[in-house]
Amino acid sequence: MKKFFIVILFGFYLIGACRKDPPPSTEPKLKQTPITLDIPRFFPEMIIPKDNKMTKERLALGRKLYYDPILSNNGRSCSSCHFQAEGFTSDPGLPTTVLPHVNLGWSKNFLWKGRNDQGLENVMLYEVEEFFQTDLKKINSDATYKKDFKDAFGVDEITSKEIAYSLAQFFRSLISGNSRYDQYLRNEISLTQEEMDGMEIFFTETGDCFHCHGSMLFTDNDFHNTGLDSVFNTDKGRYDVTGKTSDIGLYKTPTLRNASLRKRFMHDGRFTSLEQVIEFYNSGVHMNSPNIDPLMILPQKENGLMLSQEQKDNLLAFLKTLTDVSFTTNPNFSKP
Amino acid sequence: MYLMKKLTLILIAIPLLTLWGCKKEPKKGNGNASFKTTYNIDGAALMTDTFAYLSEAGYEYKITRVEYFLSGFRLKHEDGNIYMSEKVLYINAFKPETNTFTFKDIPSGKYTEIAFYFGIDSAHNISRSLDANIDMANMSWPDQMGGGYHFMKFEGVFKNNDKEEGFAMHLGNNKNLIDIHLNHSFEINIDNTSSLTLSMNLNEWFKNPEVYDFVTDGSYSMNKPPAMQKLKKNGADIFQVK
Ligand code: HEC
Ligand code: HEC
Repeated sequence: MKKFFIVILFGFYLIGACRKDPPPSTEPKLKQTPITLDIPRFFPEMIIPKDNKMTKERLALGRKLYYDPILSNNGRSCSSCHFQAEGFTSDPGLPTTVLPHVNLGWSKNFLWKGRNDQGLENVMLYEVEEFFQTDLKKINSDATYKKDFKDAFGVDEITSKEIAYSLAQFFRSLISGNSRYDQYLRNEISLTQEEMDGMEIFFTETGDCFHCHGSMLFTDNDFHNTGLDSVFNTDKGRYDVTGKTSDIGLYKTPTLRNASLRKRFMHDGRFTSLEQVIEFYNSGVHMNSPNIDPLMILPQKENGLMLSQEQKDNLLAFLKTLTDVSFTTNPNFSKP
Repeated sequence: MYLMKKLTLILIAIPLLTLWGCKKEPKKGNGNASFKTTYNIDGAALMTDTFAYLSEAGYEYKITRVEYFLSGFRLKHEDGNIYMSEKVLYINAFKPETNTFTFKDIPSGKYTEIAFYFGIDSAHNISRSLDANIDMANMSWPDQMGGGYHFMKFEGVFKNNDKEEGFAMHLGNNKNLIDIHLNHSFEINIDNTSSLTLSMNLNEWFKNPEVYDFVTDGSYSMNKPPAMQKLKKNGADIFQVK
């Protein structure tokens, strides 16, 4: 009978041996509740690293930290500049426009100049260590956090890594994919004639917006010089990060989802309305700007897009269909 | 006891069979082919940021973007059999990691032809169907213009009488899919990987058989059927195998 068991054991061993599953995790066994994100239809796959799979505990911790000034040394929290009601951006009067926190789970390049392209966890680490210079002593002397981090990560001492990992989970959950445009794509509603005409302008060569603000994310995750200026003196865009002359004047393409909720537009916030932005594309592009994107200087755009007032109004109407109220009012994203 | 022995045998056999079955080694007699895509402009190296190239129609130009899809690879064995792959490959000339790909489990022997589509075969060229990653999502071709994906985004700037203007050679729509056939003899050896290089001469888009003129044919091709048709014709011989 003993032999029998050995054989069975051996069998299991063999079956186990040929599995190519990841090796057993070195992380301590934790009581974690796995969760799956509700990815809207037609969206690409989200990049989720193996060592930070979505769990209820880590997500809850990330959300709490987002709203907690404990991370900073001046009373600020992430939510001081990133307001949910404005699509997680705001206008605090800084020289650099606050980028919105929306659909960043799909982002590859972060910050206007692409200062970080190492994934969400890594950007969060930058925000915590460099931008906020979080004082870890403070959070480590908070008994509740101590316990929550122990539960979520199995650590006795909280480091920036665990803070960054939880924040990254909250960022991945900030998904906006239920605007009127999405509902239209899902055949749930129809758009007005004006919105449809604006969509036609947006997605054809008439406006040629889709090449950079295309697909479901309304950003190509890339950098371009759209010709906002003809010279770049102190602020040289992506060049400030890469040092490549071909990057002078290039900035990250912001998503247009929830753009109608923003108060300032472009990396330096020079425009205060979508009407101004549209007029820029229509007639204000500096075609002689260094490294200007070829799409901005196609010969048929020599005199701008030449849109009529009606076309501009329709384009605006379409941009407004990208506003997702269920995102800005989602109770799962608010201060816990 | 007899029963016991039989059971033991079965119990040994099951794991052994399982082990056998789960081995992921290539089937007997098969090999692999790994491809690399490289670029030149009539022999010159591909660089951004410099007006180093001259198109057949006489325009100096520089290149800022080269992204495209290849699909429907077919490798023709000398015995007439064809190895086919369903893979849709996204390639960005400026991102080296997207420029190598491998086909596995190819029957060994002598091969005489490499065929593939430049673009996405119609079975896969459906809006929002690929979206496996952001790169692919960015290649989407708006439904307003027929849907599916850009087969190619080849962009840059050209000099039109000293004035710098942009060009955007974009190809899409099923009717502009390019079926490329390259005669090339190569071998697939058992348990081995054969290396093949596909070299694209970007300047060929602008010549052979037709001269493509940015000013008269259009410096952008999207939604311009005649311009895309010209590119389709010129595209048949952009690749050489090495
Ligand atoms: C004082 C205002 C302010 C606070 C507080 C703040 N941010 Fe920001 N945030 C900004 C600004 C401004 C930018 C754009 C900066 C740039 O690109 O150079 C930005 C950009 C970002 C981005 C890049 C988004 C993208 O699309 O690339 C991330 C990520 C981010 N913030 C995360 C955080 C986190 C996490 C916190 C809290 C730890 C935080 N922010 C707190 C102002 C703020
Ligand atoms: C060549 C790529 C490109 C094209 C084409 C393009 N954009 Fe942009 N867009 C960008 C980039 C890059 C920025 C950020 C520029 C900066 O701040 O320096 C931007 C910024 C914007 C913003 C401001 C968003 C914010 O939060 O600050 C809006 C709105 C916008 N674009 C709408 C449009 C519309 C409408 C069209 C078509 C008429 C269009 N874009 C065409 C690349 C492009």
